[in-house]
Amino acid sequence: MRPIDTLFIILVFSFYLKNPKQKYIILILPILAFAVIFFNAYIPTSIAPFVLPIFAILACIISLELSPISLLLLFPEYNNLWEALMIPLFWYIITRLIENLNTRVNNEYIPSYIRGFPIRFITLGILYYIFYPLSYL
Amino acid sequence: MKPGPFIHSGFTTQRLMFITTLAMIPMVAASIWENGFDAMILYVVSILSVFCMEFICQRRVIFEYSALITAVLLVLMLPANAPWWISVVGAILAVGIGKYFFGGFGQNIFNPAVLSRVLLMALFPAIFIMPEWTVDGVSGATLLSKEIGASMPSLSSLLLSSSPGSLAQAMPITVLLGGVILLVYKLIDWRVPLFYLATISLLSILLPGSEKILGHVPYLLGNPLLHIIAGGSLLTSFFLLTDPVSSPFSSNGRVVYAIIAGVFTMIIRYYTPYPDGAAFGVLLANAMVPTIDKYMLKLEASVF
Repeated sequence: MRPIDTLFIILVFSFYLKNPKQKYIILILPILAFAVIFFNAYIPTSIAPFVLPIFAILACIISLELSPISLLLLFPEYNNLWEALMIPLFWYIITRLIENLNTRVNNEYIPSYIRGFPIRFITLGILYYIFYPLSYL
Repeated sequence: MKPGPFIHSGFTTQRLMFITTLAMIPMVAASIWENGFDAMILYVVSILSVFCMEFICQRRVIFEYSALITAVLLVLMLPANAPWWISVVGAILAVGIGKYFFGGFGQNIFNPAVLSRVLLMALFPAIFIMPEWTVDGVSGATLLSKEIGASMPSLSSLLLSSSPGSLAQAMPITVLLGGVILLVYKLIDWRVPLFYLATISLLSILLPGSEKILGHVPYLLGNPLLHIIAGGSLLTSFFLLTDPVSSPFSSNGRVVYAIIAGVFTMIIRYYTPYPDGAAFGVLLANAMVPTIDKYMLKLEASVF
């Protein structure tokens, strides 16, 4: 898994970190991942690259406040210092962007069926495509 | 934005949109002149699809210039050889996701046409790739493409003749003409095109090129005119970045906004396999508008 993919997975889960009542959702992911590993023999690609991000997601439960950063620090595929510094920086920038976009994505004109998490998820998906070219840097 | 009182300029939204539509006519005419019936089909299908989507989303028959502008801008960003159905998918993405998911006209965060273009490129990369090229990433057919390896065209041929790429590049001088119309009628803030194009020019000189550029198309380096005229820079500066809904309130904010778009455009052009970062630059700048507004309005309030 590439750093940019992990970064956006973290951001999706950050939506839930802000509401401690929903933190149980984070617990589901390692279970799902475990299920995928269990069936590894039936899928052609290796699941090994997913293992460390799963540990990182587990770290979210320990420290809710710092969880996105701790996830990034646990990420194992950094090749150099530049990459290791840029990914947390992007996490910070995108988190701030999302915070400032919140008033726009929570407005009353948004159709009720996508208000809340779905529109935030869509916005994050769009941001993923915007930042995707930077993964080539 | 300065404190009131304000005087009404006399321009209604509909009038503003009408003049913008008129300013796009030279570009549309040039693209049809250069690409013939195929381009016309794309325009017709796109306009019909956008109005159908507006009808589905609003559940009433309406005629809005904003919808017409979205439809035409979407086609202007498509390759000339794009199949007709890409206009239909583009219209669904532009109106459905770009506009109505965010609350409809006046509420959209991202420019719907640009968002649609970027999503189309992600969904159907093959349509934006010339098959005879060796492509190592999502690419598009423009003079800025790292895979062409062609020689540097002359300035007159750049401005007046069709260059490979999107339909807007059929005759770049018509984009410039449309931009001048918008500026003369004061429908757009002159700061946005000026600072966007200035940032591109400056960075094209200052930024060191990546190996990818040096090895294939060294003439892309230190060549501001090429970066302004080829690719989507002109269309972006006059028609895409200046969308009043998705740009900042304050004048200084618009300067920052244009610079951000310019920097992102050039980073993508110089250091990634993507041929043109203009669309990504617009979307990033759009996403930063609430942040820019927040800090610039605070700054202006503290200074004045």
